[in-house]
This record gives sequence, C-alpha cells and structure tokens, in this order.
Amino acid sequence: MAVPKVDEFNVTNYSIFKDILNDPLTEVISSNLLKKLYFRGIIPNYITRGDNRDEEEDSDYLALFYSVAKFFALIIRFSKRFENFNTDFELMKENVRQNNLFIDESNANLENLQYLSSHLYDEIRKRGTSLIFKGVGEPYGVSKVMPVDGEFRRLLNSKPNDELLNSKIPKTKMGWCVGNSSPMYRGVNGINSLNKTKENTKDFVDFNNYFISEVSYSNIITVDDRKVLLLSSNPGSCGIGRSLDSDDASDHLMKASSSIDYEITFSFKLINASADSKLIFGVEGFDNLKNKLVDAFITPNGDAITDLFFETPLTNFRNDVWYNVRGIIHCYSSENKDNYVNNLNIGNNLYFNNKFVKFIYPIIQMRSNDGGAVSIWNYKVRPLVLGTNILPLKGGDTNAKSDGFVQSYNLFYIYAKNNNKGKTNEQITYLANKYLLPYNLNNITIYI
Amino acid sequence: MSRIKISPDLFLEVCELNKLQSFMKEEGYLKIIGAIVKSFGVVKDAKNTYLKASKKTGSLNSITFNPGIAIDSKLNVITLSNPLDVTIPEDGFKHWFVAQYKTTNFEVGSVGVTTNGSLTGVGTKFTEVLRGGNNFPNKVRLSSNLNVSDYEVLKVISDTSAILSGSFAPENNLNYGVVGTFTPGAQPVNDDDLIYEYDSCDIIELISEVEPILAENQYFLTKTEYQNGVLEINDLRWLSVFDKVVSSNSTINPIVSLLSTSLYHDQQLSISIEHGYKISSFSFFPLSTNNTFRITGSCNFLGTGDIPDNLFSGWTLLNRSNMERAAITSNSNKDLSVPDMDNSFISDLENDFVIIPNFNEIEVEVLVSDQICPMYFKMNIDNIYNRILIPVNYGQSEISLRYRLIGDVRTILQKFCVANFKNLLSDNELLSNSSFNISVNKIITTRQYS
Repeated sequence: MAVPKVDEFNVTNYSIFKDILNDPLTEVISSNLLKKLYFRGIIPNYITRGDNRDEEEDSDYLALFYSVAKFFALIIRFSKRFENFNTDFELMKENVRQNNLFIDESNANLENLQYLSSHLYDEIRKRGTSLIFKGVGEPYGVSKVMPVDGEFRRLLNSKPNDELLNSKIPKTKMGWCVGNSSPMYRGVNGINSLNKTKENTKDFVDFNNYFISEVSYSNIITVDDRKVLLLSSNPGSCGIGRSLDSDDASDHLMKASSSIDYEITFSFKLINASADSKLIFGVEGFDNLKNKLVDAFITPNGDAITDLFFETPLTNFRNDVWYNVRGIIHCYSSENKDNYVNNLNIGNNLYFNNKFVKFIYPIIQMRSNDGGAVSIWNYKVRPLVLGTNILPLKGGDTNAKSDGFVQSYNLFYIYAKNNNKGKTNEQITYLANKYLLPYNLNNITIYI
Repeated sequence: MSRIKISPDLFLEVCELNKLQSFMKEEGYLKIIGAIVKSFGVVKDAKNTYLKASKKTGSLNSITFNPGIAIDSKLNVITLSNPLDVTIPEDGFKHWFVAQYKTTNFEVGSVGVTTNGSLTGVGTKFTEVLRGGNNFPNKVRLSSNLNVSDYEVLKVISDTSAILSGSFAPENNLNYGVVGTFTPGAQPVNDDDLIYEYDSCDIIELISEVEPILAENQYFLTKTEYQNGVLEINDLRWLSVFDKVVSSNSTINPIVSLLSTSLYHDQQLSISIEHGYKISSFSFFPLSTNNTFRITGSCNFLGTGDIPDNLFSGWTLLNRSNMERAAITSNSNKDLSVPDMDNSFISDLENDFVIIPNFNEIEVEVLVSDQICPMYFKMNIDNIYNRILIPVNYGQSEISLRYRLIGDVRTILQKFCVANFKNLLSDNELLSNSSFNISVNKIITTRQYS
C-alpha cells in the first residue's frame, strides 16, 4: 500500500518537532500506522472503503487516516526521545535553558550540558562568586578544577583566549583617598585584582611563576627589605621574558586585547653597573596559537615597529634610589603622538600594531658581558585605565572613566568581550546584574 | 552669593567643580572685597616699601624694586616676591616703570640639577610640592633650554634636595614648576599642566618723554631719568594706592597753646590759639626702606628748638598747600620718619607743612568766671591757628581754657600748655593752670563840643 503523496510539512525552526517532522523514520512509522488503520481490525467496518483495496478508490480514506497516523508517529517519535533524555542534545539544552542557566549556545556540547543538567543548583550556587568568571580547566578551591566555563563566560560566549578581567574596586581606590586615589584620576590606581602576573605581591615569591631567561643568572634575594629578582652579569641576556626565539613561554603568556591600553610596571634599583651592561625593557606579542607576531607593536609616532620600550646602559642610572618604570601599550588605532616618552624620559611607549595580538609577555632583562647587577621589584601588568583607552582613537574618542564621583562603596569593574551574537551589551549587563552578580555591587562593564 | 545646586542625582565633574570654585571666588569674596575697596594699586605696608624703587647699592645706573604687592581692580594680587634689579641706560629719555598682573607656575626658590638627576634647591620647599616614590609621583619642568622634558620625581629627600629621573645637562639657577600627576598616558593640554599657578608681577619699562597712557590695571611705580649724569628716581606709586588710608593713632600730648588775647570792642575778648607746629623749611630723603623728612628751618616748638625723640610718633605731617598728609612713625629730633610720604606730598610751587595731632577736630572750652555756662568752639584740626571771640563783662574776670581732640576717639578735656602769651596790655604773661585774668573797663566817651 502506497502512502499518499503529500507535500512536506512546513514548520518553523522554533518548533520542537522541526527535526522529526519530515524525518524518514517518522515516515516509516506513519506508514506502518496507516497500514494498521487501513486494513480491517482497528477501524470499524461501517467506515466504508473500496472493495478492491485500491489506492485511487480509497484516496479519501487514506488521506484522512494518513494525517492521524502522522500525528501519532510524531508523538511516538517525540516520546521516544525522552527514553534517552540524557543523550539528547536539544533536550539537554532546552532543559538547561528552562532552568535559567546561561550557556554558550553556539559552542555548547552534550558533555557540558549533561554536567549543567546534573548540577543545576550547584551552578546557581556559584552565582555571586568569582567562579562565574573562571574558564574550564582553571583551578579553584582546594585542588578543584572548573569542569565547565563559569556562567558569566557562558553568557558572553567567551573564548578561551579572550580577555576577561574583573575587580571589585577596593574602597581605598575609590573617590578621594589620600595617597591612594583621586576623583578625576582615570588610572587603575594599582589595583591588584586587575594584575595579570601570577603574583599580586610587590615582593617576588616564586621563581616558577615567571618565565625567566638564563635562570642561573637570576635569583630572588632581599634588597632594602624587599624580595627582589636579582639579575646579574651574563654574556647574553637574563631576566623576565624570552631572550631567544626558540624559547617556549607558552605556559606563561598573558591574555591581552589590542582594544585595551595596558601598563607594565616595575621598580628597579641598580646594584652595580659596568660599561657594557644594559637594561632591556620590552614586550612581545603572540597570536591565538601563541606564535610570536613580529609586527605586534609600533612606536607612538608610527616610525618604527618594535618590541622595546627602551634598551639603555645601566650607567645612566644611580644606585641610591629605586626607579619606578611604566611601559604603556596603547590600544590599536590610537592617535599618533610625537615626542611621547615613557615616565623615565627614556625610550618610548608602544601602540598595538596588530589586531590579532592575543597574548603578551614582557621582557625585563639585563645584558652585560663584563659585570653589573640590577634588582627588579613589584612587577605588574594591568589595564592602564578604568575603561579601554586614554588616548583618542583615530577618528574616535577616549574611553576612560574616573571612579571619583560614583556614590557607591561596592564598585565592580569588568573588562569583557561580548561574543554572544544574540544579546546586546546592554542585555548582557542587565542579565549579569540580575542573575550573576551580588546585588550590593554596582557593576561597570567595559566591553572591549 | 551665586551657588551650584547640589543634589543627590546631580552629575558632578570638572565643569561643575570649576564653577563651584568660580562661585566662591569671582562671585564670592572677590566681589565683596571689590565692592568695598575705594582704590586699587600698590599696597602700603607699614613703611611704604612695597614695590619701591631705589638706587641699587653700589651702582650708578641700576635701580632695585623692593618685593611687594599691588592689587588691581580684578583683585588680582600683583606680587613681586624677590627684589628686581633694572639697569637704566643713559639715553636721554625718561624711563617709566609700570606694574601689571601676571601669573607664574614657578615655585619659590631656585634649583640646580646634576647629570644624574640630583635636584638641589635654594629657598625651595620640595616637601610641600613634590612627591616621589611609587605613590603617584609628580613631574617637574625646569626653566631651561637644555633640560626641556618633564621629569618624574623619584625621591624627595628634603626641602632642598630631591632626585629626578632622566639624564640631564648640569645647570644651576633654574626655576622649576610642578607639572602634576596625571593618569598615565594622558596628554594634558598645555593649559592644564603646571598645576600650581601663583600670582606674580610683570614690571614693564616704557620709554617716553611724556607720561604714558596706561592700560586698565597697570600702575605706575617709578620714573627715572638722568640729570647731569646722575640717575634720579621719581617715586610714582602714590598715583595708585590700594584702599588709601590716611588716619593713624596718635599719642595725646598737651599741644594747645594760648598765643594772645585782645579786646575786640570793649566787651568781646579775642583769644588766639595754636595746636600744631609750622615748618618753614625742610629736606626730604627717600630711602629704600624709609623716608626721612628733616626740619631744617624754624619750628614753633618751645625751648631750645630741639624736639624730644619720638614726640611726634603717631602725629600727622600735613602739607596745607595740597592737603596731602602722612603719618609720622617716629622722630629723631627734627628728622621725621614718614614711610607713607612720597613725591605727591611736595609741591613744586609752594609748600606749607604743619605737624598736627592725628585727629579731625579740636574743641576748646572757655569758662568766664562770672558766667555759669562755659562756651565751646570746634575747629578743624588742619588749621593750626585759630581765633575765637567771647563776650566778657566789665570788671575783673578769670578766663579758664581747656581743649579736647575729636577723631575716631575723643580725648578728655585737658589744660593748655604752660607758655607765654600776649595779654591785653601786649605784655608777655605766663599761662599757668590754663587760666588768666582780665580787667575790662567801660570806655566813657566824652562829647566834644566846639
């Protein structure tokens, strides 16, 4: 018996039946059911049909009962999904969605959905904690590892290499606090939670938290009651960062966005200088695959592509004072500036020259063939300002804020990239404020 | 007073704060003070030395302006902090010096810098304006053609010692200004850096034979010219004096004397009195820190002619020909110290200097013995000689005299000086106990028949 010829059923993409409606298996079940309805035994005899069991003769009957059979086939197909609920991607996604957990729908996989479905309340428990910002695989608590991305990351569809920083601004760094913050100052005031190095202490603690070139010429010692990284004479270069192209620092690279200004700061004190000794301060840029980009940075006047803030003889410095160095990387497309030197009046600051820079790693090294030593202290990498950029962009504007006039003592800053194609920045902010962040925080999200 | 309406939802930022400052300043105390000040110009200190020009010690062709302040009509304080030397060329022209307001971003004192950034100051206050270390260090800018960057302060050691970052060409005798601490990477416009702005003084030299016409809020200080090869300085500060005040306290001394008595008709007694000292000739010596007015001729001071030291402290020197007056701070015999005095006091044509007590009026009480009520006569203090007429009866009478001085305060009635006077018989008589006797006889006219 032939199934009546019908056009495909049209249904919107939002229908729960969209994947099974015209599926061949549904058609098989429909045909099977129709067969049962056509031959005697189920439908009463007083519902007449032709004598010859002819498709043309019984076309009305078949058309009617094919619809019934199709309907039941849909029910059977749909019901059978629930027998294997846990392995049904769509059902799992719908389950998570209906429990109001945010997921990266463009990047969700069954494994993550299964985890979320079985940890609904645990995920809700994580709201209002720093766990919503952690990425999959990041450690937390005591020997625990994040099994899935935190919920804020999922809401943003945040990629593993996307910049995502957050900080609850310390009260001393808000408004006007003598020696700590000033109302119209737009810098980050040295907020440690925005620091990208692995140690938030001013003192160096663990050698292994840094990529050190020529380890044998570097030590952590005490100078002026400070735990410093001592760089001593070496025929090549020694210190923080790579010195050879073959060096593999991929485990230490710092995520960065070319849409944000960054500052690399450290203090140093000269122990002794030789005629040949030099201090080298620079930064390297890497792409998504952690390959070095040779054109990552450019000088503010656009004259030279370089990784260096400065390379200067140690004899330029005195040995009775700590120098505080700040190297600034301005975001891509910042307006060019002439005669723009760094804070020590030595060398220059840098601009991002390649939008595809995804990682950076500073270079703070000493190079000498005939002696010399310098101690490094309080090494930090942070966004430069509360916002994205302090210098105007070409054809654009600055985007930096002071927190001096915010009448809140619980200010929460987030630097984030919104990859969620389905939600605007305003929607993300609304949802984060409503579901993810503590109610007593005033959230300011800087979208990169 | 104008105000900004501050409320909980109001956005406060740079504009609003600048306006708040403006309301307190331009719309506040400046407006109030401006409304009550009578004149603008050089402020007179106790010795009237502010912005005064005098010959530079040891120089024949240079003058020195004293430090001082003047205040213009916008209540800008024109401030000269350090003495200013100016060399006057002998070019046959008159040189006029004018003060006007300007601002400076330089701090007090001068500095020198070494190759490695040691900043050494003289008269500086580094600890008050500089901040080093890693706690938001500020930057400084030097008045130098060699070291032209803005230099971050590494360390402040004392008020006169600090360390800057950078490499330098060694220099001395520089001024320095505080650029400020801005958000790293920010590029403040030129008007926004050098954050401390101080009042200063711009002294302009004008060369002209005739008195130049000045712009608003410019004030003459001095005029110089060479006379027979000698540099002469003509103080012009008196032309514009800030809120000119002429009164000062004076010590009360018995100063009023009876000069003579006479009968005016037969029942009117004329009494001549004096209450000041007239100076017939003098010399004036303007100095950088004081002015000396020397009495060279006669003075109606009794005795040997010597005047006790400091007798005239607090009195007033008045030139009755132009009614200019100056307070006498002290006197050494006939040398009067008059810091307020300037060239405006001395007229080219005629001078009539008198020394008077620092009051406005004098009131004389006359009591005739056979009358119950005394008579009172009030006179302006500027007129040191006065004559009063009183009615007297025939016969013997005793006339008692007393006086009081009237100004911001009033003295009690006191006796006249013990001194000789001309009595009715034109004889010298000593006035003692501030009273004298008279005898007035009725004149009997005899008809003449022919």
